[in-house]
Amino acid sequence: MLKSESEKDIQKNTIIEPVCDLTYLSEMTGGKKNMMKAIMDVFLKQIPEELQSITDGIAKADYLVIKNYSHTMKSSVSIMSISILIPILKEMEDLGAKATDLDKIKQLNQQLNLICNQAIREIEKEKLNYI
Amino acid sequence: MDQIKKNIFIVEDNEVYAKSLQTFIQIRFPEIREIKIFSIGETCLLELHRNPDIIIMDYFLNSKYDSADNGLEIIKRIKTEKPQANIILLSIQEKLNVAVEAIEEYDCIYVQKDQEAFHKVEQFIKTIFILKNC
Repeated sequence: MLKSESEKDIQKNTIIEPVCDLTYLSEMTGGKKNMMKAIMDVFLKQIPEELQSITDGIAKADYLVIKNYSHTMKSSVSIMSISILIPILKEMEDLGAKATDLDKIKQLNQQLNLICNQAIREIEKEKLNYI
Repeated sequence: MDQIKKNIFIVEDNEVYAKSLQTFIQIRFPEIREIKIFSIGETCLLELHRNPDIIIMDYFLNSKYDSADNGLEIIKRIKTEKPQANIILLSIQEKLNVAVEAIEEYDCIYVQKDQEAFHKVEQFIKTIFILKNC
Protein backbone atom coordinates (compact mmCIF):
# COMPACT_ATOMS: atom_id res chain seq x y z
CA MET A 1 0.00 0.00 0.00
CA LEU A 2 1.28 3.47 -0.84
CA LYS A 3 2.09 5.59 2.17
CA SER A 4 1.20 9.27 2.38
CA GLU A 5 4.00 11.84 2.56
CA SER A 6 3.12 12.49 6.22
CA GLU A 7 3.45 8.80 7.09
CA LYS A 8 6.81 8.61 5.32
CA ASP A 9 7.98 11.70 7.20
CA ILE A 10 6.97 10.20 10.53
CA GLN A 11 8.88 7.02 9.74
CA LYS A 12 11.95 9.11 8.97
CA ASN A 13 11.47 10.92 12.30
CA THR A 14 11.01 14.18 10.44
CA ILE A 15 7.87 16.17 9.79
CA ILE A 16 8.09 18.89 7.22
CA GLU A 17 4.57 20.23 7.23
CA PRO A 18 2.98 22.05 10.18
CA VAL A 19 0.94 19.70 12.35
CA CYS A 20 -1.22 22.34 14.10
CA ASP A 21 -4.01 24.33 12.54
CA LEU A 22 -5.03 27.18 14.82
CA THR A 23 -8.03 28.22 12.72
CA TYR A 24 -10.42 26.38 15.03
CA LEU A 25 -8.90 27.89 18.18
CA SER A 26 -9.05 31.34 16.63
CA GLU A 27 -12.69 30.86 15.69
CA MET A 28 -13.62 29.53 19.14
CA THR A 29 -11.99 32.50 20.88
CA GLY A 30 -13.28 35.12 18.44
CA GLY A 31 -9.65 35.73 17.42
CA LYS A 32 -8.88 37.27 20.82
CA LYS A 33 -5.14 36.77 21.13
CA ASN A 34 -4.98 36.95 24.93
CA MET A 35 -7.52 34.13 25.15
CA MET A 36 -5.76 32.06 22.51
CA LYS A 37 -2.51 32.53 24.40
CA ALA A 38 -4.12 31.46 27.68
CA ILE A 39 -5.34 28.22 26.10
CA MET A 40 -1.96 27.66 24.42
CA ASP A 41 -0.29 28.02 27.84
CA VAL A 42 -2.53 25.31 29.28
CA PHE A 43 -1.81 23.10 26.26
CA LEU A 44 1.96 23.59 26.61
CA LYS A 45 1.78 22.61 30.27
CA GLN A 46 -0.62 19.70 29.85
CA ILE A 47 0.74 17.86 26.81
CA PRO A 48 4.18 17.02 28.27
CA GLU A 49 2.43 15.71 31.40
CA GLU A 50 0.14 13.51 29.33
CA LEU A 51 3.04 12.21 27.23
CA GLN A 52 4.98 11.37 30.39
CA SER A 53 1.99 9.54 31.84
CA ILE A 54 1.69 7.40 28.71
CA THR A 55 5.43 6.68 28.68
CA ASP A 56 5.28 5.72 32.36
CA GLY A 57 2.27 3.52 31.60
CA ILE A 58 4.21 1.76 28.85
CA ALA A 59 7.22 1.23 31.14
CA LYS A 60 4.92 -0.46 33.68
CA ALA A 61 2.79 -2.23 31.03
CA ASP A 62 -0.16 -0.44 32.63
CA TYR A 63 -2.70 -0.71 29.82
CA LEU A 64 -5.39 1.16 31.72
CA VAL A 65 -3.18 4.24 31.99
CA ILE A 66 -2.28 3.96 28.30
CA LYS A 67 -5.96 3.68 27.32
CA ASN A 68 -7.12 6.53 29.58
CA TYR A 69 -4.44 9.03 28.61
CA SER A 70 -4.68 8.19 24.91
CA HIS A 71 -8.39 8.85 25.20
CA THR A 72 -8.11 12.19 26.95
CA MET A 73 -5.31 13.36 24.64
CA LYS A 74 -7.78 13.18 21.74
CA SER A 75 -9.64 16.08 23.35
CA SER A 76 -6.42 18.03 24.02
CA VAL A 77 -5.12 17.77 20.45
CA SER A 78 -8.53 18.44 18.89
CA ILE A 79 -8.42 22.04 20.15
CA MET A 80 -5.23 22.66 18.15
CA SER A 81 -6.62 20.60 15.24
CA ILE A 82 -3.65 18.22 15.24
CA SER A 83 -5.66 15.80 13.11
CA ILE A 84 -2.65 13.64 12.23
CA LEU A 85 -2.65 12.43 15.86
CA ILE A 86 -6.24 11.24 16.06
CA PRO A 87 -5.75 7.83 14.36
CA ILE A 88 -2.54 7.25 16.35
CA LEU A 89 -4.26 8.00 19.65
CA LYS A 90 -7.29 5.95 18.69
CA GLU A 91 -5.11 2.92 17.92
CA MET A 92 -3.22 3.35 21.21
CA GLU A 93 -6.52 3.60 23.08
CA ASP A 94 -7.88 0.48 21.37
CA LEU A 95 -4.72 -1.53 22.09
CA GLY A 96 -4.76 -0.28 25.67
CA ALA A 97 -8.40 -1.36 26.04
CA LYS A 98 -7.50 -4.81 24.70
CA ALA A 99 -4.35 -4.92 26.89
CA THR A 100 -2.30 -6.20 23.99
CA ASP A 101 0.68 -5.54 21.69
CA LEU A 102 2.92 -3.37 23.84
CA ASP A 103 5.53 -3.25 21.05
CA LYS A 104 3.02 -1.63 18.70
CA ILE A 105 2.02 0.80 21.45
CA LYS A 106 5.70 1.74 21.91
CA GLN A 107 6.03 2.36 18.19
CA LEU A 108 2.91 4.53 18.17
CA ASN A 109 4.17 6.37 21.23
CA GLN A 110 7.34 7.33 19.37
CA GLN A 111 5.21 8.87 16.61
CA LEU A 112 3.03 10.56 19.21
CA ASN A 113 6.03 12.14 20.93
CA LEU A 114 7.58 13.23 17.65
CA ILE A 115 4.42 14.96 16.49
CA CYS A 116 3.60 16.48 19.89
CA ASN A 117 7.11 17.89 20.18
CA GLN A 118 6.70 19.51 16.79
CA ALA A 119 3.28 20.85 17.84
CA ILE A 120 4.82 22.32 20.98
CA ARG A 121 7.51 24.05 18.92
CA GLU A 122 4.89 25.44 16.51
CA ILE A 123 2.73 26.77 19.33
CA GLU A 124 5.67 28.28 21.22
CA LYS A 125 6.68 30.06 18.01
CA GLU A 126 3.12 31.23 17.35
CA LYS A 127 2.83 32.56 20.89
CA LEU A 128 5.64 35.01 20.20
CA ASN A 129 3.22 36.87 17.94
CA TYR A 130 0.76 37.34 20.79
CA ILE A 131 2.98 39.18 23.29
CA MET B 1 -34.70 34.92 36.40
CA ASP B 2 -32.31 37.76 36.93
CA GLN B 3 -29.85 37.77 34.04
CA ILE B 4 -26.86 38.64 36.20
CA LYS B 5 -27.31 35.46 38.21
CA LYS B 6 -26.79 33.05 35.32
CA ASN B 7 -24.16 30.46 36.01
CA ILE B 8 -22.83 27.39 34.26
CA PHE B 9 -20.78 24.50 35.63
CA ILE B 10 -18.33 22.66 33.37
CA VAL B 11 -17.25 19.25 34.63
CA GLU B 12 -14.26 18.16 32.57
CA ASP B 13 -10.92 16.66 33.61
CA ASN B 14 -9.10 17.78 30.47
CA GLU B 15 -7.90 21.28 31.31
CA VAL B 16 -7.23 22.32 27.70
CA TYR B 17 -10.73 21.32 26.62
CA ALA B 18 -12.39 22.81 29.72
CA LYS B 19 -10.57 26.14 29.38
CA SER B 20 -11.39 26.30 25.67
CA LEU B 21 -15.08 25.64 26.29
CA GLN B 22 -15.17 28.14 29.16
CA THR B 23 -13.58 30.81 26.94
CA PHE B 24 -15.96 30.06 24.09
CA ILE B 25 -19.03 30.39 26.33
CA GLN B 26 -17.69 33.58 27.93
CA ILE B 27 -17.38 35.17 24.49
CA ARG B 28 -20.74 33.98 23.19
CA PHE B 29 -22.67 34.71 26.42
CA PRO B 30 -21.03 37.70 28.13
CA GLU B 31 -24.08 38.10 30.37
CA ILE B 32 -23.31 34.87 32.23
CA ARG B 33 -21.93 35.77 35.63
CA GLU B 34 -19.92 32.66 36.29
CA ILE B 35 -18.66 29.67 34.30
CA LYS B 36 -16.97 27.40 36.81
CA ILE B 37 -14.78 24.42 35.92
CA PHE B 38 -14.67 21.25 38.03
CA SER B 39 -12.09 18.61 37.16
CA ILE B 40 -14.03 15.84 38.89
CA GLY B 41 -17.76 15.35 39.25
CA GLU B 42 -17.70 14.83 42.99
CA THR B 43 -16.60 18.44 43.59
CA CYS B 44 -19.43 19.69 41.37
CA LEU B 45 -21.91 17.80 43.56
CA LEU B 46 -20.68 19.76 46.57
CA GLU B 47 -21.79 23.01 44.90
CA LEU B 48 -25.14 21.91 43.51
CA HIS B 49 -26.88 24.02 46.14
CA ARG B 50 -25.84 27.03 44.02
CA ASN B 51 -28.36 25.89 41.39
CA PRO B 52 -26.37 26.18 38.16
CA ASP B 53 -28.56 27.00 35.16
CA ILE B 54 -26.72 24.42 33.08
CA ILE B 55 -24.18 21.70 33.82
CA ILE B 56 -21.94 20.69 30.93
CA MET B 57 -20.27 17.41 31.68
CA ASP B 58 -17.76 15.12 30.04
CA TYR B 59 -18.67 11.45 30.06
CA PHE B 60 -15.17 10.16 30.67
CA LEU B 61 -14.25 11.79 33.97
CA ASN B 62 -11.85 9.19 35.29
CA SER B 63 -9.02 9.36 32.79
CA LYS B 64 -6.68 11.02 35.27
CA TYR B 65 -8.35 10.22 38.57
CA ASP B 66 -9.20 6.55 38.31
CA SER B 67 -11.23 6.54 41.51
CA ALA B 68 -13.51 9.29 40.17
CA ASP B 69 -16.97 8.38 38.92
CA ASN B 70 -17.75 8.67 35.22
CA GLY B 71 -20.18 11.22 33.84
CA LEU B 72 -23.27 9.02 33.90
CA GLU B 73 -22.69 8.13 37.56
CA ILE B 74 -22.42 11.82 38.43
CA ILE B 75 -25.55 12.60 36.39
CA LYS B 76 -27.52 10.01 38.36
CA ARG B 77 -26.50 11.74 41.59
CA ILE B 78 -27.26 15.23 40.24
CA LYS B 79 -30.69 14.15 39.06
CA THR B 80 -31.46 12.58 42.45
CA GLU B 81 -30.71 15.87 44.16
CA LYS B 82 -31.89 18.26 41.42
CA PRO B 83 -34.34 16.50 39.08
CA GLN B 84 -34.84 19.65 37.00
CA ALA B 85 -31.13 20.23 36.33
CA ASN B 86 -30.26 21.00 32.72
CA ILE B 87 -27.35 18.77 31.74
CA ILE B 88 -25.38 18.63 28.52
CA LEU B 89 -23.27 15.47 28.31
CA LEU B 90 -20.16 15.59 26.14
CA SER B 91 -18.32 12.53 24.92
CA ILE B 92 -15.68 11.82 22.34
CA GLN B 93 -16.71 8.18 22.13
CA GLU B 94 -19.10 6.96 19.52
CA LYS B 95 -20.83 4.38 21.75
CA LEU B 96 -24.51 4.87 21.09
CA ASN B 97 -25.59 3.29 24.37
CA VAL B 98 -24.03 6.16 26.33
CA ALA B 99 -26.04 8.69 24.36
CA VAL B 100 -29.24 6.67 24.63
CA GLU B 101 -28.91 6.19 28.39
CA ALA B 102 -28.13 9.88 28.92
CA ILE B 103 -31.08 11.00 26.85
CA GLU B 104 -33.71 8.44 27.86
CA GLU B 105 -32.88 7.70 31.49
CA TYR B 106 -31.66 11.09 32.64
CA ASP B 107 -33.25 13.59 30.26
CA CYS B 108 -29.85 14.96 29.17
CA ILE B 109 -28.71 16.56 25.97
CA TYR B 110 -25.94 14.56 24.32
CA VAL B 111 -23.22 16.22 22.26
CA GLN B 112 -20.42 14.29 20.62
CA LYS B 113 -17.02 15.94 20.99
CA ASP B 114 -16.23 16.81 17.40
CA GLN B 115 -15.44 20.02 15.53
CA GLU B 116 -19.09 21.08 15.80
CA ALA B 117 -19.39 20.40 19.52
CA PHE B 118 -18.91 23.96 20.78
CA HIS B 119 -21.44 25.35 18.32
CA LYS B 120 -23.94 22.68 19.30
CA VAL B 121 -23.41 23.54 22.96
CA GLU B 122 -23.99 27.21 22.11
CA GLN B 123 -27.32 26.39 20.47
CA PHE B 124 -28.43 24.26 23.41
CA ILE B 125 -27.50 26.98 25.91
CA LYS B 126 -29.60 29.47 23.92
CA THR B 127 -32.53 27.05 23.85
CA ILE B 128 -32.31 26.31 27.58
CA PHE B 129 -32.21 30.02 28.44
CA ILE B 130 -35.23 30.66 26.21
CA LEU B 131 -37.16 27.83 27.87
CA LYS B 132 -36.17 29.13 31.32
CA ASN B 133 -37.28 32.56 30.13
CA CYS B 134 -34.06 34.24 31.13
